[in-house]
Amino acid sequence: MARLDDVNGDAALVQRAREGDGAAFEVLVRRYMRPAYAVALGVVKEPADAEDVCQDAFIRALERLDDCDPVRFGAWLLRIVRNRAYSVRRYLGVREAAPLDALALATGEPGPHRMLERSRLRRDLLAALAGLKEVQRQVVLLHDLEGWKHREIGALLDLPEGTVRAHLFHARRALRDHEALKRSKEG
Amino acid sequence: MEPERLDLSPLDPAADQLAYERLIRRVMAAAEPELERRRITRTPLSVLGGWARPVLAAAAIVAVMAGSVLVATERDRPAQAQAPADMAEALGVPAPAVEWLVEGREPTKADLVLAMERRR
Repeated sequence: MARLDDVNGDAALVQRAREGDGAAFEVLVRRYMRPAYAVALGVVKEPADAEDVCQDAFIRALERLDDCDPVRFGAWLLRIVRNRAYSVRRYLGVREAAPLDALALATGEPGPHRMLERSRLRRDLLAALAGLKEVQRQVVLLHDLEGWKHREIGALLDLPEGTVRAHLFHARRALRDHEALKRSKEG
Repeated sequence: MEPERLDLSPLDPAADQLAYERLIRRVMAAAEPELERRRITRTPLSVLGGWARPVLAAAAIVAVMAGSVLVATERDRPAQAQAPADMAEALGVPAPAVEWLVEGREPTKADLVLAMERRR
């Protein structure tokens, strides 16, 4: 799991990617895709938009790779992801969010009961997350989905560790109290 | 007391391996033109080519500076004496003696008197 302070090997990979080594760049993409997705989802809320943000951000990062300090690649990339996510959100600002039900069902092929249940839970989680403040969403996704530490999240979001803890507390409580998630548990 | 960690794994993009691989492939496909551009611009020849321009510029500057120094040195050097016309003059042999040597004869009394007259 990629972390901001997990710089082992990043510098060498960045150097090789600068020379056009696709294999090295793919390792970086695989290493940082999940945190990038969590950061993007925290801003744009829609999984499909988060994927687009990640793709754009990786390409922009590759184009500007010569500007990056190789040992700080992770933090640098995730800032590009955040900025890209803000741009996409501004661009989509006037667009109404796609109904989450339709979105969740669109990705769920007809299949076993378990898949359907998971798809429903995903839909409810997205609905609950959409109700959080943006910073809460980012914190809870990075912490509970990606397993980042408070300190690392604070470094990425420019927040004191205590503030990160507070956001996490409120985010978790709001998610637990969310009607859709309560129904999911009961159902 | 802090609420428990939520299970957000249904939101994990890697939970659906096929979809996740498709996403990675998509990114890599979009990255290919830039990677290709980087491969082309980083070949040994192009690296040397990249060096050529600054090296040529530096060489031109050095040449201009060297030329200026040479011109200045030449201008400041004092005019030197004319080089001797031949070996005899260089050795300081008097002109009449040179004639006798060239003709391979001993000087007569008249030659010596004439030579003395010329030096006076």
